[in-house]
Amino acid sequence: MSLKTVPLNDGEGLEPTGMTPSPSELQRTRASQRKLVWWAFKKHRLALVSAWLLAAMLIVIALCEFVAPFGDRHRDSEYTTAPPQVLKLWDTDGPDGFRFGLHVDGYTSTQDPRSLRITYEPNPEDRVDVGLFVKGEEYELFGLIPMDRHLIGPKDSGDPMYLFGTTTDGQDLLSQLVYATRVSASVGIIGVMLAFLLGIVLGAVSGYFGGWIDNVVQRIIELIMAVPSIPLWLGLAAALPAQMGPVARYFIITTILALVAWTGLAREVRGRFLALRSEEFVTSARLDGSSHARVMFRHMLPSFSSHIIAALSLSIPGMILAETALSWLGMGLRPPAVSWGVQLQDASKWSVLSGAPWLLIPGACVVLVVLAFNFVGDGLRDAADPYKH
Amino acid sequence: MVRYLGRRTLYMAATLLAISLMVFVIISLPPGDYVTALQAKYNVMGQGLTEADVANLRMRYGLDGNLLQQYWHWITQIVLHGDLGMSFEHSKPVEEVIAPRLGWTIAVSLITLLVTWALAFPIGVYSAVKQHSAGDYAVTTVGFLGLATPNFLIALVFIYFSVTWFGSVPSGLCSPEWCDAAWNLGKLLDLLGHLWIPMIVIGTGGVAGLVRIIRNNLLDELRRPYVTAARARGVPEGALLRRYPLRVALNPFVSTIGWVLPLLLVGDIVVGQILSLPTLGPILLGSLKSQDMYLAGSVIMVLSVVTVIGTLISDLLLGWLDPRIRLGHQR
Amino acid sequence: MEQPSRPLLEISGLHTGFDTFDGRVRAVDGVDLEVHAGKTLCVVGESGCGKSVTARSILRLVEDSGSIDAGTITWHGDGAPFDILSLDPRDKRLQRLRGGDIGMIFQEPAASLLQLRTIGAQLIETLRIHTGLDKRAARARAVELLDSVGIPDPQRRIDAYPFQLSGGMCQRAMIAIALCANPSLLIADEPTTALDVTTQARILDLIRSLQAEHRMAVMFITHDLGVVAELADEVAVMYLGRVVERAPVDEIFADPKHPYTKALLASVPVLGRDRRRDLPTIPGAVPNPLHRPSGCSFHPRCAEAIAGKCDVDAPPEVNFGGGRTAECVLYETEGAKA
Repeated sequence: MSLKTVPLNDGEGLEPTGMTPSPSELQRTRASQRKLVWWAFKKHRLALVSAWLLAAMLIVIALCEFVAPFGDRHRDSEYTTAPPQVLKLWDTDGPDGFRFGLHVDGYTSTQDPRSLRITYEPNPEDRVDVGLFVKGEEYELFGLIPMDRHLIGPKDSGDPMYLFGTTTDGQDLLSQLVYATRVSASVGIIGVMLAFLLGIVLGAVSGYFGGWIDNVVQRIIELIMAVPSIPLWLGLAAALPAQMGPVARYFIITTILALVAWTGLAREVRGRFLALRSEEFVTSARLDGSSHARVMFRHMLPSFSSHIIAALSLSIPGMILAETALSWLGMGLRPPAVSWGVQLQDASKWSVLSGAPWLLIPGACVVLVVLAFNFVGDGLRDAADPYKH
Repeated sequence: MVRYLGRRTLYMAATLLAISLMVFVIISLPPGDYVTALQAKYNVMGQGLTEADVANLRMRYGLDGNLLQQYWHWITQIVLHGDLGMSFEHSKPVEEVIAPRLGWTIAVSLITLLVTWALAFPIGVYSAVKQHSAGDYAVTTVGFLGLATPNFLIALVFIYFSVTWFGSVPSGLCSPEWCDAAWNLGKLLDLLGHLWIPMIVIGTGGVAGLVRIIRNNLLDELRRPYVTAARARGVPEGALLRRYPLRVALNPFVSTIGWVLPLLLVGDIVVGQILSLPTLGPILLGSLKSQDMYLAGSVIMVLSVVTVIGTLISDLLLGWLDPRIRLGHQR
Repeated sequence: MEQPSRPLLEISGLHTGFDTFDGRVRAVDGVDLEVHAGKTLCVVGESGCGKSVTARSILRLVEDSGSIDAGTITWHGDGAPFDILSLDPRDKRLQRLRGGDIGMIFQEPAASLLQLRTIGAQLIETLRIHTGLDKRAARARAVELLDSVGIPDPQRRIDAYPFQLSGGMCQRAMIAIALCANPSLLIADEPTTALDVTTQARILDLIRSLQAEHRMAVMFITHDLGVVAELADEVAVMYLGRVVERAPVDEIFADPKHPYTKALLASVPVLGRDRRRDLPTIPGAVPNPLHRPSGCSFHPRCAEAIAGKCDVDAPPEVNFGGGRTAECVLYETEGAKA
């Protein structure tokens, strides 16, 4: 950054004696735009916490197989709809008194004689030892490195350890949630990237050239915005062939969401380009002989990149919510693919839900991640506009 | 004003055309058409259809010819005869499936829209005027949560508490004893008793969004020079708020009909699914799942038309409210 | 020039600050000013010197993040004098002051009028608040007022929206609103800055003739020394939230005392004199009020600064008599210390 290259006492006469600005002000006057935004962003505490949360989420997504105690195909038909267990650090009522060590209580099952429904309850007598970095199912990290260690899991890989309970199919809700996070969050992020590509190109062209090009693009955007988007997603998603593979379906659903969402971003980008078009640095770049594309994407775009990142961050929640709703309705991703919406399908029968409220945990996850993206976006937007307040 | 009206109506026509094209694409996307489906049905029942039968059927339903001709047939049937095609699943014309439910859908949506406004406006104004108060923080927090929670999740949480506390889930829009009764006060009260749950589920997102919009707008307006100027000439605070910034903040509020209405209609799909309401939502979902595309496409079309009309109404209101638009100083 | 013994408005020790992310900015840092009945006081200074905030503090119009920290602003109107700053916000006297005894016009006339209401509606509203006329009488009076500020065809223009009028016309409408209750003081906060030169001159003429007609005092905020020469009886020069020099208008141009005033005057082009030479500028920029220089806040840019003195001690306010003061060590030995 410029801080390193500029000596602190460079301007003779310009820094008169007696006028001693604080070091922070000195930094402020010389810091790059990016640094300024970061400083302003750091003052937004909620946004900062959210940014950390999202960073943690990204790590979980990257190391999904390692973080999840069980694989995404793991199914334990012995324990279906079992309640969450509490992770305990020590144990006082075990067979040999006080004992230290991570563990959970196992389950006892009872069957209702009339409805034949089996319910599970934690059983303090039955201790399941839990360890960190335990051997479990084999997997390939990043699709490359074969491993069998998991961040957390039962020491004996056959034992039940279901910290968030199990689904109606006897799958570990926590593991499923970890995999679902990868799918749902990436739908949001990839979808926004796609929408952004479309939005930035059309928005930039529209705002930079203006005139009839702008007019045409704006009318198209207005038209698309006037069409109610959600029934359209539903229609397009329903028109997909039922036998389509999960990966293809994932990409097509993402594309559909992006196709509907790009207009807002295009407007944002256009507005910025329009405002910058008559700035001197743009004219001088043109006079330097830079091509239109170079002026647009090397000179103008970087000058409002923090606004763009803010707009992106604020668009992701819409994508995530749309995917979740679509999948929950059975129109989006389908099992065996697992996303938050797919997970929540399990909770939609009220007879099941009333006995198994933990099935709503993925919903809490949706709310948390959506909130985090919103806060980060808000924080960035405020930070990018230091003169607004 | 006339030019403005003309342009808006033109946009509406263009939008409707675009919507009809997209809906037609949706209808034609899945492999096979209504006749193929019929064929399969007859095959299952053991009665094969001859080539000639199939060709005749195709002709009758306008399914011969290329896509453009098919589109032309489909759209002229709708415009000239109100014929939306056949529902494969219900084995009757689409309009017969839709008609009885359309009224309820519009009624539920309109009531929710009104309630949404009635709630959002005062809350938003309060939150902006008392910025940084405890009430403002509460409103903002709840608003953020409301926007971040998918409405089906709200419905699921409602169901959970309803089952654990009352042992059952309220469903439909009326209790059995009132459903077939003629309209009277009792039925109305019963309806209102049932309506509040779908309203909460459908309306939360809308209220949260609107509160946010009105709060941000009003906060912007409160900082404008004309507010200081009006205060400097002694306009009392209450009248100042009412006659100056609120007038301006009302504009974007009116223009939100365009996006609140579809939000409500989609909320209806979700709620209708869980609470089995006699609205279009569940029909749309069912038809999408069974790829009964004429029905699905028609429902989407009808919902879109309702939205577009809503947008036109909001444009008209805006023109009436804002002299700059009325006098042609702004689009 | 004989001074009326009693000022109309008396600002003393005014401190107004704003909360920002980086700390509290003292925009007005101990200002004393007097406005005399029927006279014009011009407050000049660069942007950011606190002149507008001073003007707004008088009617308690300081915006949300800011507040008045200390000082008194005494109004000597027809009734008993009172301190405006200690009034309850709901006090009737504050209401009557705003738009009644004191009219105010602003820098951006178009933005200071609500675009969605006709100028007539906004004028009649103010008229009725302060005069108690009924609707028809107020409308008739409004037409008269618009006519008196030089708006042609007032019968028709009264129903015009601000966006249908030019900036100059909007400012005339603002003046009509400000004068509708016959105020004894008009505060004009850079009313001509946003207008083009010919419109500027016309608005200044209008203000001058209206002042004579209504025999009111004017407090004119500006950064334009040309305007000062044309309008002022008294001049106050502000720098970084303080009044650094005060003088009758002819004296300030003939014999500026404070180095900042001298520098300001030197930077104004004079026809004939300044051909073929660069205009002198004041070196440096107005410092960030968050990090006020120690001692005299002007010393880093001052050509006559005395090292070891100006950067250490706050300068004394030197009183030359006859309403002349300057805040500078150079004159420490002249005049009596205030």
